[in-house]
Amino acid sequence: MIEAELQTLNFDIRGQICPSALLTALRELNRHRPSLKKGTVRLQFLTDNRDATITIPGAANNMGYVVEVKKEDSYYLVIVSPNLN
Amino acid sequence: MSVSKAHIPSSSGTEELLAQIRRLEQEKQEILKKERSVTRYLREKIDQLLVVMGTLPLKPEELDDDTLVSLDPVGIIADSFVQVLEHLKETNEELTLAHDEVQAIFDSAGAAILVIDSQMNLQAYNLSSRDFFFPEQNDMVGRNLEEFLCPETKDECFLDKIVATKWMVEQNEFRHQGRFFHVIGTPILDRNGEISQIILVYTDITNRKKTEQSLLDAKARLHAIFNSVQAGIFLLDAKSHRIVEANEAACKLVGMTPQEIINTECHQLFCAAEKGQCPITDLGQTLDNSERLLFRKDGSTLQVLKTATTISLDGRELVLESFIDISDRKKAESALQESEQKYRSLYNAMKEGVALNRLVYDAAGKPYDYVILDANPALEEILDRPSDHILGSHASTIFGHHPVCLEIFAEVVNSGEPKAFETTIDSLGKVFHISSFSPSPGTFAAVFDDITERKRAEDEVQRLAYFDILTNLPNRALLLDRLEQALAQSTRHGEQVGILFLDIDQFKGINDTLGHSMGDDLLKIIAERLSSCIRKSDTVARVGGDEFVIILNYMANEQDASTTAEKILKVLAAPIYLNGQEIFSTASIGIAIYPADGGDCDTLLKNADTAMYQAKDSGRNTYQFYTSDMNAQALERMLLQNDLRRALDRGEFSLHYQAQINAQNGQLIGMEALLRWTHPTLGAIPPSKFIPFAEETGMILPIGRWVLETACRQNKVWQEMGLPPLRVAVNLSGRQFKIGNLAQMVAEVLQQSQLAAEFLELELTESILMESAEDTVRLLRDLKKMGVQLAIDDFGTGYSSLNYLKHFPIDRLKIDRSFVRDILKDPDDAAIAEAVIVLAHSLKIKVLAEGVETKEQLDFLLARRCDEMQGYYFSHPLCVDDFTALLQGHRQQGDVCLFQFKTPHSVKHH
Repeated sequence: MIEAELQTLNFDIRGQICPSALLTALRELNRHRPSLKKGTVRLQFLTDNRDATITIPGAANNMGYVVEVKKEDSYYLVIVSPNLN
Repeated sequence: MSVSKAHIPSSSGTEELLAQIRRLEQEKQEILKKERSVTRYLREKIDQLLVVMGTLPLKPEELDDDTLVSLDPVGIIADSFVQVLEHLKETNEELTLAHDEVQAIFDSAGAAILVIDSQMNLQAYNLSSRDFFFPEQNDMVGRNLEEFLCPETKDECFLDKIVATKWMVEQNEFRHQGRFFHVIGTPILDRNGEISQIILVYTDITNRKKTEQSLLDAKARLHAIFNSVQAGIFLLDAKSHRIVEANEAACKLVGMTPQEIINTECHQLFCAAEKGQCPITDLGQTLDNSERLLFRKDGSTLQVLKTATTISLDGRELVLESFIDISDRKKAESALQESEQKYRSLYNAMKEGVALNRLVYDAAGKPYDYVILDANPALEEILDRPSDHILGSHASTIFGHHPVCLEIFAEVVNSGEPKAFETTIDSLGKVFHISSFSPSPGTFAAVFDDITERKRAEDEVQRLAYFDILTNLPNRALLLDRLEQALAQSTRHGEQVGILFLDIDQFKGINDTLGHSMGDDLLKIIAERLSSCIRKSDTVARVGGDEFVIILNYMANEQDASTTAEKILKVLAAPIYLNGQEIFSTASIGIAIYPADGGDCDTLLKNADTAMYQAKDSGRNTYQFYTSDMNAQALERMLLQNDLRRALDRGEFSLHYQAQINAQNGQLIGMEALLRWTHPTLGAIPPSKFIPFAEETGMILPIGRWVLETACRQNKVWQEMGLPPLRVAVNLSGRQFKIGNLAQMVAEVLQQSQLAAEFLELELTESILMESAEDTVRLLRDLKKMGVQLAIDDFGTGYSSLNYLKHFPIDRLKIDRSFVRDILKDPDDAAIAEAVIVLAHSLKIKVLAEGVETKEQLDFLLARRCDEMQGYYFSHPLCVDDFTALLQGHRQQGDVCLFQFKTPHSVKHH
């Protein structure tokens, strides 16, 4: 049920390399912080920068979110979900 | 920042302007320089923050300064930090909670958990460790482990092992203050791989150890029991039936070592014939309890009681077999059976009836009957009923209305004490001696001994105790009783009682001559005659062989007694015919009168007895009243008896000799030796007074021998004196005849005295001849062979038939003086004397007449051709000296006829 109510926000940050990709991701994480904390959204970042698949999960983890990285055909899908535990 | 150029100043102004421009330019440069510095600082700090965030520094080409400012990375990072910090805070809170949780678990763990550093200093511990290792103490953190928890043996410290291996080490048994622990030490290594901490977990296994120990103890105990029980025990594998374990007793019973026995199939030892029929594994029994034979190693067998059951041990199905040697018990059983058999046969064969009974009680608990549970054949016979009519029957139906002896039997059951008693069972008409005892509560056994006959016999004995069997007259006991009563009664009535003591004259002779049977018949007849002479109120009792006592009650005077005595004598005088013989019996009676002659039974009887002797002395067939001087005579008799015993030793006996004459020519042909006793105080005592005592006491034997020896010796002396040889006649007593060695004794005496046998004559009485004719004939022949002469003394007084005489080698008959005495007055006596002479002559036996005192007697006998004579007419008995003188005179006178011989002594004997 909760899963159903969860809204997925997509951010295509392909083309950006790490610091910028990270900052972009951080900015979105900061912006959606209330919803994330409430557990109503999850953010999905599309990136083609390998560094970002390390830096974004690192930072998001430090913030207490659950991060999942999926390898798609030509990019990576970094999914940041609220920690519902 | 944009620079404005709207105001241009003058030269001066220009200058000023220029200066201004320069200044501005300078300012611009300053500002640019500042701006660069700010940007650089900004980048620097952003990079620093990014690094902190865990990402790469910004690359200038990736983000130009303007974008940098517009992007506001600082803001983003700052916001992100807020989130990171917030998350950190949450995480810290969670960690704190987790720590508390861990501590709680830590403390609640049963095991003691210690955390030490590499220096063994305590960093943390839980509650259990405090309880185990340092109770009541706090602030142990920082203390060195060695101070409070060290292995009891240092060299085994397992911490050294941990330090050395840097690996988890386990110690199974760590002892501390009597407790046992299992310890696991786990090192925690730092980044450099060095030990930073060691976590020690002590699990208390004391209880487990105890349990283990008690299990070991129990096992040892079980093992000890296993081997110490008398019963043999095997454990078998249920499938293979092979023995997996055997105790010592089992080995001993089988006779095999444990090594031999293990793996043996049980069928080889037990139930050999039943392989495949094991009650437990094949027949589905859970328990087998049976007697078996145990086949021992040495081939012998043993009877055992075997118990087998299955047990599960360590998941393995086993059969537990135990067995005990019951051969002894079997023996005992068979012995018991034998004994039972023996007693059963005794029970069945015994003549006493035996019954086992159970009492029957009423509602109030009072026994009212009993049921016969068992009875032996003897009881069936006693009750005259078959056993099926007895067993289970109530006593009341068998014995009649009231069960026999119910009260006594109830008492036996009640008290448990056996009882024996006699009772008459009327319904059976029998008397029983019953022994009863109670073998178990409520029951009793009774043994019935039929004593009906015995009782009858006892009654008879009782009767016999008071009556004489032969004559049926009262005996001495009853006499005394009656006399007692008579005395008491007469005292009350002032009357007299007469006691008549009667003795049959010469009964001994009658008995000896005619035999005891006829003697008894005679006594019966006499008893009847006596009874006929008295009143009903009087008593006749037989008190001895031929002695009777008559009690005469209610006598008015002594005359009554003499009247009765005379009547008795008269009645007895009538001839008695027995077995075709005519017998004359007389009696002597002594009379004592109560109260004159004594105040009690004993005295009266004694005095009557004394009077009776007096009657005998005065010639028999008469009666005498007791007189007090008779007592003196009785006393004399008693004294004589005593003195007689010593008379021989004291030399008080002597022999007198009386001449025997040839009737035809008056020549002296012999002499009869006659015994004389000269009592030291009483003087000469006639043989008639002491010979009966000598006969009674047996003194007659030594006295008789003395007489024979003395007579033979004296005769020899006379012969040696040159006097004419004569025969000497010696009287023999019946007792001498009976001792059996008479012939030998005579031969000895003749030998000693050197007297030729022809000069000895032995005189016997008729009764001796008649007593045991066969023996006597043999003895007489022996004596005759020796050459001794034999004469029969006192002939005619006994009952011998003359016919007998021809069987005996007799030389001479001596006619008794009693016939000779009245030979001229009494035609009977004369006839007897004449007949004897004629008969003797026909048998070629000489006849000697005794007691010839007158010329008339001599003539009468001469006329009847009597051969020889003896008597006062010729010579009195003379002492040795006088007789010697007679012989010498005879010799000097040559053929002097003694018909005219005068005796030297006129002393009369007898």
